[in-house]
Amino acid sequence: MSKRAAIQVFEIPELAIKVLVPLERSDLVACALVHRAWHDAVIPFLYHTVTTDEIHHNVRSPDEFCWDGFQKHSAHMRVLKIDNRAEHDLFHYGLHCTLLTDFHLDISEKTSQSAPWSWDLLRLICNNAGLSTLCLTTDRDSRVNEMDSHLVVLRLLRHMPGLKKLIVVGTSMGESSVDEIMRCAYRLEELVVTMDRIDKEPNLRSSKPHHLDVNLALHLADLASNNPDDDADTQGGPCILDSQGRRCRQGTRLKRFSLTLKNGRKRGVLLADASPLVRLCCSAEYIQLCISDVMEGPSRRNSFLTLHELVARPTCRLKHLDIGPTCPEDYSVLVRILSDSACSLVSFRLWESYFTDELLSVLLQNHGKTLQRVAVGKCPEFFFKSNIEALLSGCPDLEALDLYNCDRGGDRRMAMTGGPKTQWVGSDERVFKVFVSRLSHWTFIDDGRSVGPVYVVSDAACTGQNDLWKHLESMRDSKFNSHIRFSAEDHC
Amino acid sequence: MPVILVSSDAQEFKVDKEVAERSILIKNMLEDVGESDSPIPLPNVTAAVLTKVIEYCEHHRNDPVQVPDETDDPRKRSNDIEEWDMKFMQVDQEMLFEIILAANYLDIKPLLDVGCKTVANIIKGKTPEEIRKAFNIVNDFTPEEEAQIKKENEWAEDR
Repeated sequence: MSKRAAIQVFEIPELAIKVLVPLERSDLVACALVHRAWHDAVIPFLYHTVTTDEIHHNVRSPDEFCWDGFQKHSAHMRVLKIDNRAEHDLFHYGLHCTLLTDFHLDISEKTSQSAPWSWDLLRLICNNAGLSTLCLTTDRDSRVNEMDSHLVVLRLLRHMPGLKKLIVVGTSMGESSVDEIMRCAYRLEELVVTMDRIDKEPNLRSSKPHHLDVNLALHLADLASNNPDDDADTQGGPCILDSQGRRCRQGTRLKRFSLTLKNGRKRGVLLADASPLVRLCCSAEYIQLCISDVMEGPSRRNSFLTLHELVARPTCRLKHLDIGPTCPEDYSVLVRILSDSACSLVSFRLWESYFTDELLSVLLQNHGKTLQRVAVGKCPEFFFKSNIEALLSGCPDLEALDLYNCDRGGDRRMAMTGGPKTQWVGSDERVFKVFVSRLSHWTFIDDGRSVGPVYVVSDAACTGQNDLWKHLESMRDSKFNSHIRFSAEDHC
Repeated sequence: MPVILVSSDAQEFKVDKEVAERSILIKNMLEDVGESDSPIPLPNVTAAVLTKVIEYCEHHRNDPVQVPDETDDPRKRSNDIEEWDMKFMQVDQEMLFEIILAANYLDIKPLLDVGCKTVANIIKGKTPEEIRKAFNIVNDFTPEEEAQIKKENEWAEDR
């Protein structure tokens, strides 16, 4: 009887997965060797997600390694995460996959001066027409527009009809890469671009036709002839006018858009024409915008993409706004965005920027009824003393309020003077955060992941400390029924 | 109002409605049938297993209904079994898998979760032979097949 039950459980895929999910890979291999029924349940799970990091960690000599498992079970592979060290191994496993949904390629490792794209790699992407997520991470130290040197793969985006999520992380990107991304972006549901900069200058490397391009062109011609709809996509497709009279591609699906340019204003952003991005954002529910180097003078700003342009006219679809470092002149833009009655925000985050009275007022006035989560960086002291309750009162559905200050010491470290020097608070080596949450758990507004670990300071640690702590502590059992947590993280 | 449940071996169990309704299957049946004294047959659950399941439901009768949580990461949560549940699951391996099957059939998600986590915790760190011994499973592979599986999956072994 026991044998039957133990086998039966593994014959029901939902139950087998429940048992297998918490296990390490080595435990999964052990399970695969227990019994045939267990083996059949474990193998699809074991090969579902393959990362070359793991393979390289466990395989000392790839030449002597047995690749039979990958060739035999490649039909089960759905998520493949590889780096350029694994390129020559692709022949052994990657080429047989045809049902991948997620492909992550990290070519940050410098291995040679040769072209980073092999024919095998391109074939792998071409063979998996069902890809819904593509993540490209490139060399972060490169001085050239390294993303442009991979234009060859960005061109493939046109022929991935099922692609829903594109993540591009690197140092720099030229307009030609942006153009390729824009061509497919309106078909995406999520676009994340994290670069140090976008350069206007033509990239010499990418302007030279590469021999792979020639092969690829032939291959793409085949693909295009088999997928006439794709060709229509690349040609732009029909356009409609949106409510503001702007031309907008019909059927734009983008829900989440994130653009981070770490040296945006310092090193030179720019796109000659930001209008494709603006069009994209007109349908997004979630927009995250961050350009660093906010201290650059306004004279230079005119020549750069100001991200706030993208949401200068929010639409009713915009629900989540996440704004990065903001320079003084951006505040008026932000106030204008928040004043727009077209949208009702559910979450708002302003990080590495001061929250002003005006912002608070306009936020409460126009979005108070719908806001569920607010996160604020660099809160001035007055905020603690008078505005936390105003925010909680003005936002009846607020579930979470995250107040933090990432400054290292100095007079910006408000509410710290005379405060406790506990393990969590008042140390220059730590980031200070306060979470006020009506939920039993805290989640970030941007990606829904839990923040942790959260250190809960004991009541004793709060009692008798400075006004801030007293104030927050007094709210613990207040009408707001809030859970108040104090936490800290090491600086990265 | 009590509800009568009948196990596969024809044993009757009288339980409070709110206890029985921890099972979504039974809850739906009661809603569909309406007020009725008719016993509810559970042909897939033996009396021994049903006794354990009722014990679990009695203990958790006042628990809030479990809401699916997006942040729920099973990898991080395999060890967070409540003390009472952990003791409850200290049964022989036969019963452990029977409880999982019953929880699945009766649609009692918290019990199913706790059962699967318990099995996962037993498996962790064990060799195939130790797992077979723990669950009283007979090896049905030939030595050649076993060697081949080991070779194929060498990449996933912890070094």
